[in-house]
Amino acid sequence: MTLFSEDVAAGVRAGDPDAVAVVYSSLSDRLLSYLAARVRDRAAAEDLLEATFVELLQKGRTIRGGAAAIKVWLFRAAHFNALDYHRRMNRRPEDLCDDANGLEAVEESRGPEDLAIAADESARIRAAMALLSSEQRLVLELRYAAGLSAPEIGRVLGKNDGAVRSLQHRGERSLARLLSRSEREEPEPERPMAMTARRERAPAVVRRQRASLRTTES
Amino acid sequence: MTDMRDDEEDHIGPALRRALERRVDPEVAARHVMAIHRESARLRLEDRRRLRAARRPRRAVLAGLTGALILGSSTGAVAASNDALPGDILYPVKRTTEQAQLFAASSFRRKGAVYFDLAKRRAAEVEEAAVERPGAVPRLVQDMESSLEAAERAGVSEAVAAAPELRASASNALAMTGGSTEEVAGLSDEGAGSAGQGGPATAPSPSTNPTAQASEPAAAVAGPAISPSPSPSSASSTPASPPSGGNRTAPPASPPAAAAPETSTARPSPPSSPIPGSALPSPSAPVTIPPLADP
Repeated sequence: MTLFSEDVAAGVRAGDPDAVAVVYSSLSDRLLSYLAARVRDRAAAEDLLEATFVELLQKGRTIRGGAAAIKVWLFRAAHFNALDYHRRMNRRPEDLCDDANGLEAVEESRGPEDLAIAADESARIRAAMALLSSEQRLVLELRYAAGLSAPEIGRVLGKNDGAVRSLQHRGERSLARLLSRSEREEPEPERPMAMTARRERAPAVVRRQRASLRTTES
Repeated sequence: MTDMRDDEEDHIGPALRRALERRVDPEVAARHVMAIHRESARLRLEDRRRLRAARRPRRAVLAGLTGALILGSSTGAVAASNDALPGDILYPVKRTTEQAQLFAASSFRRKGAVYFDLAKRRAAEVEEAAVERPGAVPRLVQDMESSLEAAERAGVSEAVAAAPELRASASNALAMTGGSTEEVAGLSDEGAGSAGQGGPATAPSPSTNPTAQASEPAAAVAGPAISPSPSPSSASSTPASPPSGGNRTAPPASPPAAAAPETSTARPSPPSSPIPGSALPSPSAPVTIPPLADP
């Protein structure tokens, strides 16, 4: 699914900055999410986002194809920009710790208690992801942060569909196991979340999630 | 087994998405879109420069010619300089050649003819600069006006006849490039003084200039005529002392001195270009015309 029209795509190929700006408004959130997952530093992710779009303006005329091709091109460019960033920083992604910006990830509709719990959950998810293989993590990031389909992921990474799906599923299974294990190791959270001290039970949404994450070892 | 896997996917997915998703701040987005536009403007400027370089003689080849003598030798440089615009390496050669021609004109009448030629040259430069070097336009218009007046004063009838049209296209070019008559007037320095408001201006100029206000000293702020004011002094001094004055005034001293009564804008750097892509090479001094002394 692409989010902008073929007219806009033609404008991008012609180097029209307004067309590029339309693409920006369509895809910047997804690109930022992906970049933030890759480099774990929000400011750096924003810089890379800008650089990626400037690149799109410069090189738009070399892209063959319509909106779909441009979307893939963008995520590929972001992907390689992130790789360059790591090379420059000379660090492995796993070494970087989460920044507090994880709190921003939550939807606005949730209340403060949900926020606290979700932040905790998001932090645990990101921590668990760091334990996956780098390829599995990459695929999951492209699937859930960037929102790409399996074929699109394949084009970004240079893999075929089957390889992508298998990496995705294996990654998800490992993640689920890691999360449920960490769940069981912790006492039930009627507890040290300062905001929720007065509540007896976790909100329904979280209870449902915990139930589902709990898998029986087979 | 597979069922469990599907279940897991359903439940992990949303949580994963939540954990990873980010939204771009509006200010950051605005900054980025501006950067996109800036880059676009830069690229377009690059393209234009490249096009112009392709048409004009290449710098490397011409580097050696810039110091050449005007009279006699280096006819190649003289010929090659014909297309030059302010800012090009050969432009000084062009202008110096013209000075030499002026100098060589033996009578006042002949000088008038040369001045008419120069006015036409400047007019041609104005047209081209309007597209390629918008910032140079005000200065060129001023120079054109000086030469034109000198030709008229020398009684060159062709000049008198052609003057209205030349002046009309000059003000078109000015309007097109966002310049203004204030700017052109503000460019003058020597000889302008407070008298130069256009009051005592020579007869032809105010009447023929379509945009000229009643050029009284009081009306200075509104819109003085296209540089009739500075010209009288510089133009009239020209026939008398060819090499020094020429129809070029030295690089603008401090315009305010000249534009004292004129409280308006005087002399901004060339208009903040309405078209981003038309940024100029030298924003502060619109045109780099070196003084005659420098070859």
